[in-house]
Parts: sequence; structure tokens; C-alpha cells
Amino acid sequence: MPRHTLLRPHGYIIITDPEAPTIEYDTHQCCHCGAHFAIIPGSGRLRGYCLHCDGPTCGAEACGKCDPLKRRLGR
Amino acid sequence: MRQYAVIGSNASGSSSKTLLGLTGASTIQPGIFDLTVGCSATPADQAVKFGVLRSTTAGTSTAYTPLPLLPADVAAQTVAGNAHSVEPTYTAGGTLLSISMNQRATYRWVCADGKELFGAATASNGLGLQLISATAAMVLDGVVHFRE
Repeated sequence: MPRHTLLRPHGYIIITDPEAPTIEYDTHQCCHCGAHFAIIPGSGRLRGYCLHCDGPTCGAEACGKCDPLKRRLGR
Repeated sequence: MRQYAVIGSNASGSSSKTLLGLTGASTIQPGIFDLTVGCSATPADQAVKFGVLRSTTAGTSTAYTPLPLLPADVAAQTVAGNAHSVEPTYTAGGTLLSISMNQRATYRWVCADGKELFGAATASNGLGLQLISATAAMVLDGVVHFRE
């Protein structure tokens, strides 16, 4: 049962398949676009961290510059 | 915040078929905090990818009245629909959650308080749960719980 945990996860995924082991992941929410992404060590995906928002970013190019989610949603 | 449930299935297809959509307004923002997707059809060994995306228009769908999780709550201001015949217009780069799995599997995602998937606070904007692609035409069944 693969499971990768965070101290304070923003979300949680569980996939149950009758012919495969149950898969569980914690997720983080990008503080800029609001997307949730699973924490998969070794996936090779580069993520980021915004010191202004004090939160993780998803790694997308558009989220590299600080644009807080609440401000973005209000536009 | 009041909480509601919406269920929906997509029209049969193998790509770009929305199971259900939520449309807010400038005064209301639906925020999804719980999501379950599965398939009630005869089990088959097919791959499927689906996701939650931000939308700017609602498309054409069968209207669905969101069910309050607390029965005493008032009706939702968010407008919901399922089995879309015309797809909503989705925002480029607005995929908030994306997952691939076998059709036999069941998927559930739930988030912590304050970490919901929100649509923009603009008229006609909202969120859609879409079958993005699959290796065969299929009908998925989805349930979302949202706050507003």
C-alpha cells in the first residue's frame, strides 16, 4: 500500500482497485492557482515554494510569480 | 458556509465529456471539498483520465438541484448540471485536480478546511468534473460535495 504523508496535508487521495493495491496519497494545494497535486517522491516533478504566500506552488510556469489565489479568484 | 452534494454521469464518450458542473456568480463561489468518481458499467480493463477544471461558461446540461448536507439549509445559490450535451468552456491551464486510473477503480479525494477547489468569483464561472480522455467510450459516475 504506497502511502506518502505530510505533516499537514491539504488533501488526501485514495484509489481502490479490485485488481491492484490500494493507492493513497496526500496532496498539497498550490497557493497561486489552487490546484491540488499528489506528493510522489521521486516523480521528477519540480515544485516550488512562495515565500510571500508561505505555501507550496505546483511548479507550473504561470505559478512561478507570486499571484495569490484569493486575488486571482477575485479578478 | 453551507454544504451541498451534487451527483452526475457523463454522456457516453471517450474524451471531453463533463460529468457535472457547478456555476457560481460574482457573489458566490462554490468550493469543492470532497470528490468521488467510479464507473457502474460492466467492469472492463480500460484507462481513464479525469479532472476538475475551472470554467467560464456553463455549457448545456441537465439541471440538478444541489442537495443540502444539512437538510435544514436553504437552497444553494450555485447552479448545478450534469450529463452535458454542450461542454462548458474551460480555462486554459485551469486544471485543479487530475487523475488517471483503471475503469475498475474508484477514486476519492477530500481536502482540509480552507483548501477547497474554487471557481472564480465572476458571473457564469465555475467548476466542472470532466472525463478528459479514456481508451474506450464510457460513462463515469461522480459525486462532489461543495461549500458556498
